[in-house]
Amino acid sequence: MQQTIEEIKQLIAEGIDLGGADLSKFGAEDAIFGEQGLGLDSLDAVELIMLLQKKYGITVENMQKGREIFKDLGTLAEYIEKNRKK
Amino acid sequence: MENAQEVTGRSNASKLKHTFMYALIFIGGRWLAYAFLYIVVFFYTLSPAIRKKAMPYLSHRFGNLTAWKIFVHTYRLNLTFGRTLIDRAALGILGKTGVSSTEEERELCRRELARGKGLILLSAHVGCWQMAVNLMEFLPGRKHVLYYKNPKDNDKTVAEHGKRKAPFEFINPAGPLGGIVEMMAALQKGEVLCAMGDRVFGNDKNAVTVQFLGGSVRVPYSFYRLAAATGAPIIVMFFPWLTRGEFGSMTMKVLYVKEQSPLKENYVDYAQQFVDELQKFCIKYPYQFFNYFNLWENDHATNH
Repeated sequence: MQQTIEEIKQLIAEGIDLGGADLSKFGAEDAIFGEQGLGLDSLDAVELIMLLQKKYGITVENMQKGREIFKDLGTLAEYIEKNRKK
Repeated sequence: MENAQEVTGRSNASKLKHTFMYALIFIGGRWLAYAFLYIVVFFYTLSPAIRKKAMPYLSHRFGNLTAWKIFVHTYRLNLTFGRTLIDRAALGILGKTGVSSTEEERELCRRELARGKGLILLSAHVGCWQMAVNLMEFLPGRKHVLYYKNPKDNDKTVAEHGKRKAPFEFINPAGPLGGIVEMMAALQKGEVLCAMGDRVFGNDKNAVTVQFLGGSVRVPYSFYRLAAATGAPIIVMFFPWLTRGEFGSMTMKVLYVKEQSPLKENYVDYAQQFVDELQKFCIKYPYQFFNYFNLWENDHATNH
C-alpha cells in the first residue's frame, strides 16, 4: 500500500496546485481534504477524480461511498488497489 | 475575504404565514392568494429592514433613489417574488402552471444532452427558477438539482406539497466536498445538472470576481471547471415570471468550456459571460432578481 500512497502523493503534487506544500511528511492516516491534512478543497476534488480516472481507470459515483474512499491517503490507496482497471 | 456570501436558504416568513397562504391557494386557487399578496407585501415593505435588504440590488439597477422610489421599487420587487412563490406553491398544491417555452429551446437542450457529455443548465436566483426545474420532463434521463434546503426553512418545495413528484434528485452543496463528486458522476453518466451560477456557497476560494450592474461581484467558477473536466456544455437559461400562473424561458447562451488547467483565471471569462447574460435579464425584467443580500460587498475584489 505504501507504494500506492506515494503514487497518489506524486499525482497530487504534479496535478494540483497546493502552493508548494511538502507532501513527503504525509502518510496513510492523513486526511486528503480539509485543513487537518493535505488541505485539498472541493474544486481540488474535481482534479483528483480526473487524475485517478486517467491513471487507474477508477470512478467514484456517490459521496456516501466517496466519504469513506477519500477519508485519508490510506483508504484511497486501498480503494485503488482493489478497483484499479489500469 | 474569508467568508462566502451570507446565504441562509431560509424564508423570512413564519410557518403560520406560509400555511395560511397555502390554505388560501387550496381553498380559492392562486387568485385568492394573489389578492392577499398585495396587502401583505405593502405592510412587509413598510419595514426599513426589508427595504434595506433590497437596496444593494436596487441601487445598482436603478442608481440613486429617493425614499419614495426605494419604497416603490422594493414593493414591486417583493410583489413579483411573492407571485413566483404563490405560483410555485400552486404548482405543488394544484398541480398546474403555464409554461411558455419554445420547441426550439427544448430541442436545443435535447441536442446538447445527446452529445453524451451531460448537460449543465445554469440559471440564477431570478424569475421562476424553482418552478422551472420541476418541469423538465421533456429532457430524457435523470436530472439533478444543486440545492441547499435549510432544514429550518418554512417554505415548501413543489414536491413537498405532495401533488407532484420531483422529476429530479437533489445534490446538497452543504454536503461533503460541496456535492462535487455527485455532480461529476452525474455529468459523466450523461445526465442533467441544474445549478445557480450567481451565489457563492461555502468557500470563497472557489469564486471569481466579475462585473455586474456597474460593480464587482463574486460568483462561483466551479461549474465552468466541471464543464471543462467533463466536456459538458452549459446552457445559460433564465425563467421570467410573465403573468399570473405563467412563466417563460429565455435561453441566453450555450457555453462550451475548453479543457484547460484548473487555474481560476482560466474561468473568469466564462463567469463574466454568464453574468453578462444575467445583467441583460435584469435590464429586461428589473423586478425579478431575488438575491436579498449585498452581492457587491467586496466591490474592490480582484482575481489575484
